Amino acid sequence: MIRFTVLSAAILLINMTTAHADSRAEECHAALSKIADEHHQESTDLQRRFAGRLAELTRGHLKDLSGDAGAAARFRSLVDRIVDRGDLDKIRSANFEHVLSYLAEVGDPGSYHPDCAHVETIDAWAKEARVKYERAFDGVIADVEERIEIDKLGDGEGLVVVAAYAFGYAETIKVNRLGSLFGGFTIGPLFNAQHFRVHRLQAGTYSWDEVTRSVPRGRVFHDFSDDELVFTVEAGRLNYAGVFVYDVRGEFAQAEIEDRAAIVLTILERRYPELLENYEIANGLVPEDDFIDFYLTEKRRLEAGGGSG
Amino acid sequence: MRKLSVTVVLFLALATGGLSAADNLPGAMDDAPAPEPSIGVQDFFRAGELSNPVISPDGQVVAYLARGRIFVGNTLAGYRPLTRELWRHELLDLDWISNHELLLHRRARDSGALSFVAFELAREGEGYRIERENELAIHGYLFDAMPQSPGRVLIAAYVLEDGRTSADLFYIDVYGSAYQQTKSRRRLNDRTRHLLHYVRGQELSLHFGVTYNERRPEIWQRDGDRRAWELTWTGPQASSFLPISVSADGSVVWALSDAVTDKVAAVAFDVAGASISQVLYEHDRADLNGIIMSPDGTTPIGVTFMDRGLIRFEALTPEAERLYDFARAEFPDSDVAIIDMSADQAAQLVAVSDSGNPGAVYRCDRTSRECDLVSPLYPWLEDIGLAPVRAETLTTDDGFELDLFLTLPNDVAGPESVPVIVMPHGGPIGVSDNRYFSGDVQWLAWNGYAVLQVNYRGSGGYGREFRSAGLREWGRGIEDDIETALDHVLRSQDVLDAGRVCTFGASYGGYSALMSVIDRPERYRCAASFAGVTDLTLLFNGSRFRHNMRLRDRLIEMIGDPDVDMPELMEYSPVYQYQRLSRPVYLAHGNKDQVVDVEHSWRLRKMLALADSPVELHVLDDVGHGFALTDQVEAFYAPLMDFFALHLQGVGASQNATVETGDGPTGGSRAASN
Repeated sequence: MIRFTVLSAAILLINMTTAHADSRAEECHAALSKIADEHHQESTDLQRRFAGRLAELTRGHLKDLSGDAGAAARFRSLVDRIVDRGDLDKIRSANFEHVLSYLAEVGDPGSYHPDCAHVETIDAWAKEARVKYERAFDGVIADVEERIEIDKLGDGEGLVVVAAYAFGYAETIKVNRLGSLFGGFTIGPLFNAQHFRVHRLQAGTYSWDEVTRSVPRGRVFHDFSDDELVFTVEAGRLNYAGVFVYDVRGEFAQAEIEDRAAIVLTILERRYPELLENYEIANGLVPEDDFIDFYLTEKRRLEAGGGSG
Repeated sequence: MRKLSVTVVLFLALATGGLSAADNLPGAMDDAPAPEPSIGVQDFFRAGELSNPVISPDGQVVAYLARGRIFVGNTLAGYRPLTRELWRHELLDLDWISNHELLLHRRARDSGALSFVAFELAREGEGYRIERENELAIHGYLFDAMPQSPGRVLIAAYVLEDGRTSADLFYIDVYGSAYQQTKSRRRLNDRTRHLLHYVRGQELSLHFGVTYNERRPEIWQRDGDRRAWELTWTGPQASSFLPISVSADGSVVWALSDAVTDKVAAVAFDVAGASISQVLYEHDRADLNGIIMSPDGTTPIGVTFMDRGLIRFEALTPEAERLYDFARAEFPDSDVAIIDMSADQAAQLVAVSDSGNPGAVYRCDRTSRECDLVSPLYPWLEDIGLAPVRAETLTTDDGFELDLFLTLPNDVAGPESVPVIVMPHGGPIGVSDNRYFSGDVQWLAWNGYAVLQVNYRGSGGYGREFRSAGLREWGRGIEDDIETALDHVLRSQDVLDAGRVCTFGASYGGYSALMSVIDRPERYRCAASFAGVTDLTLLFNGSRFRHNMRLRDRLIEMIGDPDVDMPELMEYSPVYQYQRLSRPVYLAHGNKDQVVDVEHSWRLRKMLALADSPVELHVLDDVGHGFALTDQVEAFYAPLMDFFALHLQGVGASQNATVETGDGPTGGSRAASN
């Protein structure tokens, strides 16, 4: 009798444990299902907002170009190329479809009993995927906006290849136009990352003056205005301005402008071939450096069948 | 000030040299080194088992740096770590400041700031423990250890004013506050003359100082501590003047200088007459790099210099003749260099190496006539049998004597069986190769290649005329010297295969490799460049050089002035001569190189790709103008060895295409073959 009682207690305990486990699994499946719904909804919203913004930008600029069919066609083609280069299908697959498919698999009550401890991790992973997805959209939009800005090049303005790299963290990098309170610009934040954009700027001389970054007790300013980190901009040209390199180690920071014409040309050839075709390059960093002219001349010669020997 | 002279010797004896000497950082070495099951490239570049060995003034205790720690001990008790691992700092130097106190000089890895740490030691069983320690945040160098004054030293703190470096001298209680003790009112000098070196007289008086003006040494003197400094002598030409010590009566300062000689010589500077009164010793070929003083520090008794790639000691007194006697008798078949001595010079630390052995440090006692091993330098390489380095001297057609070093692999199959890698050193001005252990040379030899190094015109250690002969000879006289040396060894060494020669170097050596292939494509099968210059005009273009007139003037002196010599600079730049580069080229460059920007390799790669010439470019992340970690060395050498195997041994598949790199202003963060 005693034995029976013990056995019954054991069965009861097992049943209670199983019931608890079932309830916990249901809770997890519900949480995963909610994550999947959120991911689907928010990712779809991102796509919708992106498509809307892209259409709005394109429409607006095409309206500005309405008198120039050739320019409008070039712009359409450019936008297509930018979207292609953004590799959005691949990014969608990795950050949208793959995430949903995974959530569907682990959320299937018949095939998998997740540990609830993993749900938060899965949620964080899905959110991270949406951040990546959004970043990809933002990149494409920024590229299109950059093209629209380039098309607005006015009298007295030049295009400038603004390239910067931060080893460490630079929250803002400020470039001032010498002799003017206005006309400067700010880039950042950069964290072990690069900035590479074509900016539309007034002709003149510019100086990489200041880098700021947040630290636990406030903000740190690194003033480079005495270092003569300058470049010039010629109107109507595609101006090469070197590469601003910022390197921070602990409390110490240094900045240089490096002459990296070959690297900048390589990126221009990949991303802005039409600018290289349509604009004459001005060397706004070291005008006497012959490399850019030498390279472009040799390239034209070899493409014309000049031979390498 | 005896330390000054032996420091130079120590550096030369233990320097791993070459392009890839890696620091001993975490991950580079296990705590207790055990023989590897097989030898790999990292083994040739791991930091030595010890560095900076120093012996206490009484000769009883030896201390050294190893694996980020200080080790202390003696022959009987053995050598044990005194400190934990100090990885946040690069350990630069170690000095005894009394019989029981050490001063560590170090540099912070993140900020680069220099500082000192003083340790007072106490016996604990057979070993030692730290009784007390104190950090001194002073950006400077140890000027005088003052071993007769425990706990007290003279430290020179660097001052950078108006683009000139000078030094303020402070009398420091090593257990006190650096901040309090380096206030301006505590300095022993005044700062009016930008003095860099001093000579200490009796007590703490400073009456003799050296500075440089337009690269000429200036001697400043004063009659008393409170009197004004007066300029008493200016060197007749751009030269060096390094005071070593002072005579007992204070009338003569002993110094190393090339102010009045072609080679750096040991000279006596007459204090009263304010002139170099005597050249004590000038070698006919070599600059001196050290003066050994008598035990009381008042009389020079010997000099040291590099002779055909090895340190040599020349005695100036009969007593000094006997300094090396015992160590040489103990190691008759090896190269022996004394790297530190006790105050009475009876106990010596001796570096011993020979052609097949990477070396070891011994403590020798001239009184008891015993030598005991402190530590081997590279124990993990002892069993593999390093390749011997042979030295030769030859004379060029225009009369320059060149030292060349040929390293042949150990296993030679027969005549014309060994492919050759010519390895020009960097610099080019004032730098030189030697015969001591080099990871690069030994790794290449281990892989079956003969390695040729040449101290071409412009190299350091052979006097001013030889050094100056390399100015504006980039791509010209320097490479002619290398070709002369190459032709010579190909003629004289029948095991070398003249049909299988490549050239490979770093920095200037990379440039030289490219120019040699441009000039003599029939001689070379390939060229490899790490951190190499490819465009002489580009050297002037970074903001660091554009706004620093001294750097710019120095560059102009070395290669020419872009304002007037632009056509010539382009004529001797591989970038603008790309059509003549018909041999396969391997380029590697760190994306944090602040000496030769990564753009150099990009420019050449871009031009060669345009011409569809075979080129590989490997951009190395977080690598500067050299390697800091053995992992980086391995990442560099793995594809390079494939490149050499392909072009010198016909092993592997031809890439015959450019290597694509990342798309970014730093030159990319990845490398992939297409």
